[in-house]
Amino acid sequence: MDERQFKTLVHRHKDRVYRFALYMLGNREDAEDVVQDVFVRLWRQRPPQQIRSWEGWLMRVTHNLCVDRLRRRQFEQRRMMPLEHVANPDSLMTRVPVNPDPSAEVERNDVRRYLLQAIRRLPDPLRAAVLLREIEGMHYQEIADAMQVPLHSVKAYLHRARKQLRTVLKSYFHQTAE
Amino acid sequence: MTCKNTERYLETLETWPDRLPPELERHLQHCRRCREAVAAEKALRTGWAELRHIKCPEQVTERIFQKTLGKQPDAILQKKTGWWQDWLTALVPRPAFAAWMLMIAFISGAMWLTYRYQPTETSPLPRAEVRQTREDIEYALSILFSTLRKSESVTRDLVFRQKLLNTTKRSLKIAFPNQHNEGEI
Repeated sequence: MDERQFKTLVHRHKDRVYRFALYMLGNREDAEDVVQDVFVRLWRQRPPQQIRSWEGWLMRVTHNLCVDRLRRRQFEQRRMMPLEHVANPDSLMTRVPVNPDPSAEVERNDVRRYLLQAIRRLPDPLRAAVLLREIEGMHYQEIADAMQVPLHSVKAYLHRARKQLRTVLKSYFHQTAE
Repeated sequence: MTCKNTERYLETLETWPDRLPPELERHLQHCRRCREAVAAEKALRTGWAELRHIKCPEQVTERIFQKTLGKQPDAILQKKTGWWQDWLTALVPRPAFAAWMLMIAFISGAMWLTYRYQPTETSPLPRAEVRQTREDIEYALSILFSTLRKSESVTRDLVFRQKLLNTTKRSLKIAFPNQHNEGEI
């Protein structure tokens, strides 16, 4: 791999690697470190050119690094920064067009906060699977490769994750309706 | 439409439609639970879309390039190693050589110690015994070197053979400054 190819890969994939790490870890600094580690590892290891999918390789490494960090964090019993803090509209959603209706904007922020909290509460494998599917738009087999689990596990993770997320959002709408 | 049908409809929905089916609309008018389910599903889908907008900060990209391309790629890949690491790397796949080297080092050390601490008049070790030890070591060395010279199978690698011989010569020069010359090895 030469410099030009490396630069192309960084520019093409850095956002998805960052997004995935951010929502997995719920911490901006950790996510930045993971992105850096992933691409430095790519440069140092220089995987073979015949690699099937760079995206798959990068997401697998990102997933492994995130899982390592989560385990270490669990081990150290450190308190994680709440994900909704990361997702405040001023920092996270600056690129989302602002809704002209203020009440709709408030509701949208609430929903987003609920969704982020729900994602945060998901167990790690479910969170990884649903983020790779819903945010990165990866296919089931690609997710299975990235997470190094069988295909049927991915399907089960996604089913359970969606069910849990729906339940959380339903409870939000239930509360607002009352 | 029933609540079960609504649930199934939402689960199988690929993309959110512009308009919901009329029978579902009718059902939603009198079913609060399904209204909440539909609202949750819609919020979930729009929520995912919003979460996709996040971008990696530019300074992270700069840090990556600084850490990788900022230095020479070769310098990153090839760490500078010390002489002992070179030797270790070379000897690990050659256990026979390593064994020879260790043996030579041990014998040389023993000889050096023997000559360094020459027995004095008050020494508990008699002079004759020291002489005997020295003769034994010399005899062992002569066998070692004759074997080494003949054994082509062990010493196929000429570079290592040369290194081995050089080390031995140096050791012998230290041990027997007046008695051994290069011709004897």
